[in-house]
Amino acid sequence: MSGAITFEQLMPAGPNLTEHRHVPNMVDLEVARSRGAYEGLAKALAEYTPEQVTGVVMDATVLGRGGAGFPAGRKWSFIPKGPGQKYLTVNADESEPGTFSNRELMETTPHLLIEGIALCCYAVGASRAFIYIRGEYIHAANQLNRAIDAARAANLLGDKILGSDFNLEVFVFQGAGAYICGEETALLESIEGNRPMPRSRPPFPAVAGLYGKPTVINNVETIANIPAIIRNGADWYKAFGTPTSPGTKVYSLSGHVRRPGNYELNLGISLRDLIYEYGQGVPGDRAVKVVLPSGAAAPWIPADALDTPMDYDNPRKLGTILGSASVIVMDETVSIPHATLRLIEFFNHESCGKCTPCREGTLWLVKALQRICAGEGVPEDLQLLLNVCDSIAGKVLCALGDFAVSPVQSSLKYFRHEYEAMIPGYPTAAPALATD
Amino acid sequence: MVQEATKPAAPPNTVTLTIDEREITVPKGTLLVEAAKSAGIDIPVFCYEPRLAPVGACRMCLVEIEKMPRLQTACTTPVADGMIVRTNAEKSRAAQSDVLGMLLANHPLDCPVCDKGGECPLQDTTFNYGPGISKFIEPKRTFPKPIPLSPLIALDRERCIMCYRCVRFQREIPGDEALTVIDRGSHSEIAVTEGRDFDSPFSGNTIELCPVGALTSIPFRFRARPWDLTKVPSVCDKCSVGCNLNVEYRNNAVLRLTAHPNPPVDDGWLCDHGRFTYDYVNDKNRIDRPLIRRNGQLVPATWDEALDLAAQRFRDTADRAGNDAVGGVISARATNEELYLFGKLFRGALGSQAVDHYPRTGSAIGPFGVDALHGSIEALERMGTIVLLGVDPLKEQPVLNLRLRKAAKNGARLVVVSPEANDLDPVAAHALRVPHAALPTLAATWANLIVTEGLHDAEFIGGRTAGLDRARATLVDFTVERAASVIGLSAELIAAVGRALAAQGPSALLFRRELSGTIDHAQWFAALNDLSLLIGATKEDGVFGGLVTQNNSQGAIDLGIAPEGDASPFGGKAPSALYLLGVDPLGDGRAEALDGVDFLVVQELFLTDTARRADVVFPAVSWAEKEGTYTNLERRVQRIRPAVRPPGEARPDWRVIRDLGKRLAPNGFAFTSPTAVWQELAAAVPAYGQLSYGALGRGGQQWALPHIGDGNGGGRFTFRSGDLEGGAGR
Ligand SMILES: Cc1cc2nc3c(=O)[nH]c(=O)nc-3n(C[C@H](O)[C@H](O)[C@H](O)COP(=O)(O)O)c2cc1C
Ligand code: SF4
Ligand code: SF4
Ligand code: SF4
Ligand code: FES
Repeated sequence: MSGAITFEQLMPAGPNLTEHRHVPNMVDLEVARSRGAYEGLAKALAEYTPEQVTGVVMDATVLGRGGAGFPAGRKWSFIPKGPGQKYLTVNADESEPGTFSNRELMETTPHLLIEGIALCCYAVGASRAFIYIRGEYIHAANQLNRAIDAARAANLLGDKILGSDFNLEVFVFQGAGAYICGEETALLESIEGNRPMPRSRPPFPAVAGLYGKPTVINNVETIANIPAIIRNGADWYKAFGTPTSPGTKVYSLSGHVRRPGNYELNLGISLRDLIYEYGQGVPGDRAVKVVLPSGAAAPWIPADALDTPMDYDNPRKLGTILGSASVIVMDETVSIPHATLRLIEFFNHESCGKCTPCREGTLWLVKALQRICAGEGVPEDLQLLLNVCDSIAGKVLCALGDFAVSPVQSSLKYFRHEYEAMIPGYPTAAPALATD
Repeated sequence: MVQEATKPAAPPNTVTLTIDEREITVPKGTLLVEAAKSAGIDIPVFCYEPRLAPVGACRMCLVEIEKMPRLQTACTTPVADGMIVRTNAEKSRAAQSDVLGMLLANHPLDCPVCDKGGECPLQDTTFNYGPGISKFIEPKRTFPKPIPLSPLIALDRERCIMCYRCVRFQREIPGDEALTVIDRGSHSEIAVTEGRDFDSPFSGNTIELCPVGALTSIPFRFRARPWDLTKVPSVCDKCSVGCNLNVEYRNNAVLRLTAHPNPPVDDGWLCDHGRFTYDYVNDKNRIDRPLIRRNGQLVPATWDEALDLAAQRFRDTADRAGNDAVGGVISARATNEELYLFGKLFRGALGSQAVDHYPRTGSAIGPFGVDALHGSIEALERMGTIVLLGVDPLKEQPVLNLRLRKAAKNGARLVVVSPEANDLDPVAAHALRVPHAALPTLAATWANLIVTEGLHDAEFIGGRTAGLDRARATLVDFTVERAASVIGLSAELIAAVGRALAAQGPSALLFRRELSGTIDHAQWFAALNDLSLLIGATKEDGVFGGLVTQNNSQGAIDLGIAPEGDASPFGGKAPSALYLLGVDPLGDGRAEALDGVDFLVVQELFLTDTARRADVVFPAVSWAEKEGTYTNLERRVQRIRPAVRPPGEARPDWRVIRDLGKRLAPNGFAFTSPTAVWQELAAAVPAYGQLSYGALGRGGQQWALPHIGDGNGGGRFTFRSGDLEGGAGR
């Protein structure tokens, strides 16, 4: 009907990762191949040595989309050359609050991921790949398994792929249902059948990863970028995004916006454009209060910094990161101490408990925030919260502990007055706070 | 200042770094925490334990490393050349204090009622590195009070600091999953894995590993405070490993046994049997004075009455029925000094050959002509191949089992051949089920296979051994096919494992001395000797021997406390007068050993069935009450020391034997102490004569094997099976 907006219009296709998001039946190998699937793999096997594939990826500067932004090509280059078992594990755990781009990608265009996996494994000499997928993603897991079976039947996986000497088996491993399973070494423990607790590094997974063997761990989206890069070349890729953050990124937008969803956009788009142009603004035209740029994990971006370009560099100037680009918008109706408590409860609940500062510190933060939110805070509490954060940050075994302090630190940085207003007797009874 | 140029070059494979302004050179791969320790710099740790893989969990050991933005855990970071580390600067001190603050936040701080109080690393570390005051004002996390994890060990979850040492120990050392962590984050708890029991034979080690009072010994709980205990270093007498321990006592009662690490022997571990078996020492029912039979009843007597009576009757019997009519059997758990005196009493004072030890170890002379282990327990860690034939160390030499697991972890290929499932099967390269009766055939078959296929080290065999041709002729019929039909395993498997044994690299062969069933033990030992030579187990870097079982079986062998010919007081013709020291044939179901005995002297801790039958009973003393030496399975002589006083009028066993000797011989028994006995013993037994008595009390000393003596590999070895004319056991 003429006046109705279609889903295609609501959620536009992007130039690379989401190009075929609206094509029905992309799980079907024929459909996918009619849209170019596995052309990159065929090209690589015919024209490139493994080192050359890594070289192209390095040249393209694909920054890891799982959060840390580490260049994928460099990561692959750490895998020792020569014989011996190596693995790729694809991180599809996607348990960060507000993060849902991997899911759509796997559900709609599973062959894109599988082709990317084959290219990565060819480059690093891995003959086994595991997709560690969040346990709740049942449909996505089914789609992947269907796609793997079809690819195998067509000699796009299995032995002597497309007549080459390259062999590869891909396994879908359904996750154990914890946020920490997305941390790369906890993920390896989980595949090995152990409690998902992060490993201490060194050794790094590139040296001793899954079952003690050299292992590449990449996010779904990182890997899904590869086929088009091999097909079209590094320069094509670098034409998107910014010079230091090339390519596109699927931004997952949620929270107080009219049109939440996944948007594949050039890296470097501003929060303002993302929220107002793509997300269609805040319901009721209320004001944005604060933005969480990477789910629960990263320090916040205040409303006066909405023009910050969301690439890998600019958020750092605000003391935060692009992370997984899962942007959560909170509007003026939100009580910051309550929101902070909720976020800390999440981290306390998800802390694996392996290391002291995170295990004990997040519990301490929860208890203090609960007291404050119940109107039983004391003026010293705000300094206490910051001190506890200091005792956690930088002292923990994995990044979860570092993530956990951001809501407390950010909220106290930008919204201290909201806490003060909750504490009986504040500020008149306040002691002289340390000023630094 | 030393000039850069004049500095001696660091040896290869070392790394030079700076810790707290001090330059330190350590081997490559050393962890920072160990590098610091080697320079006397203490970095506080909780989860780190050198014998377990580092996990970096507690975060207590955070240090500053120049050029690294974050603090690093010293327990997981290997040293690197030029590293500049600060362990005591403001940042690391603050981190250490913060971590302690976190650990203490939910810690109950019930030190006054905690068993660990006084020896608690958390207490000590807090004192040295902790925050002055706690800022934690929230209610503490609480758990219902201690829960038993097993009949021996209780867990107080409130005190646990989640260092995982207990879980890691069980997984990495004995290799089981008895303990686990349940729940997550701040709700994490240590627990027994669902569907399992915490019945590991090594569970007690977790008590000592626990850095707080979370794991406590149920037998010891609340019996005493650590600082009220007196510790005496000694040696466990419960098996042939000879682990070192501390006897800890108060008010003359042994209250607990703790490890006294002697790494070459025990790696600092004890098994539960060794650790928890001590209540008998304190038992009120111990015999505490001599008894003699009067009018059919055992009644108290003075020492002189009892000694006079025993000596008189021994002398009368010898005069009447011949010297060998007086016999004696002494426990293989007695000290070397007691064994020596016992032997001297019979052979010297009474002229009797009817003397033996019990349980008796069958003789197994190696190809080097000595009945003792070649190599050492520690050397097992460096083996390429370890063959275990019929032995079950978990049951008989428990802590040795841990060493074998460690060897497997270090890369040794274990070949486990046993009649039943063996604890080492899961870490073995090959685990074969073979009945005892077929072991001699299997050993001979492997020897034949290796020599036939020429898989042995020709240089070693050619240059260092004699008798190969005769052995080869004897072995020739032991084909793989015949073995397959006897044993019931495939010929391919037997051959494949046999070939694997021949692989180069240090190798060990450990075997069971006494096989059950009708076995030609001479053929068994001959085949073992051949095999040990062919796989190189007798080389300087190898290990070879039959495992003994009792804490001083080896001492009894070394001192020759065994009869010649058929004079055995046990099994042969029973003597008319019999002296049993620590031996209980009635309790062991060997009543026939007492048939024909008309005068019986028994020296025992308790009134055993045998003691009840005796004419004279001497109270014996336990290992915790006496002085002396034991020789363990690797011929290491170690000293034990008295901790508590024996009950009542009981006297050390050596004195009793001496006093009998004094009554039966005009001279030769004037010893005034076990040390004096040792001196005579050492003069009489050449191997023991080389030992330094001082060293025996500081970790012990292995007596030297003659063939290793010159250190140039000069010794020669003889194949044995050729000696057995016609090859017995065909
Ligand atoms: C608590 C925690 C959760 C994480 N969850 C995910 C996840 O769900 N997916 C993901 O790709 N990376 C996740 N990461 C990051 C991974 O550890 C890792 O950096 C990433 O998978 C590397 O892939 P990339 O280089 O392609 O980004 C998580 C990290 C932490 C500390
Ligand atoms: S920081 Fe938290 S999640 Fe990470 S290892 Fe430590 S306790 Fe586990
Ligand atoms: S019980 Fe003791 S050893 Fe085990 S984790 Fe807790 S503190 Fe560590
Ligand atoms: S292994 Fe033997 S010596 Fe060691 S503690 Fe156990 S019983 Fe005692
Ligand atoms: S001792 Fe280093 S982290 Fe625990």
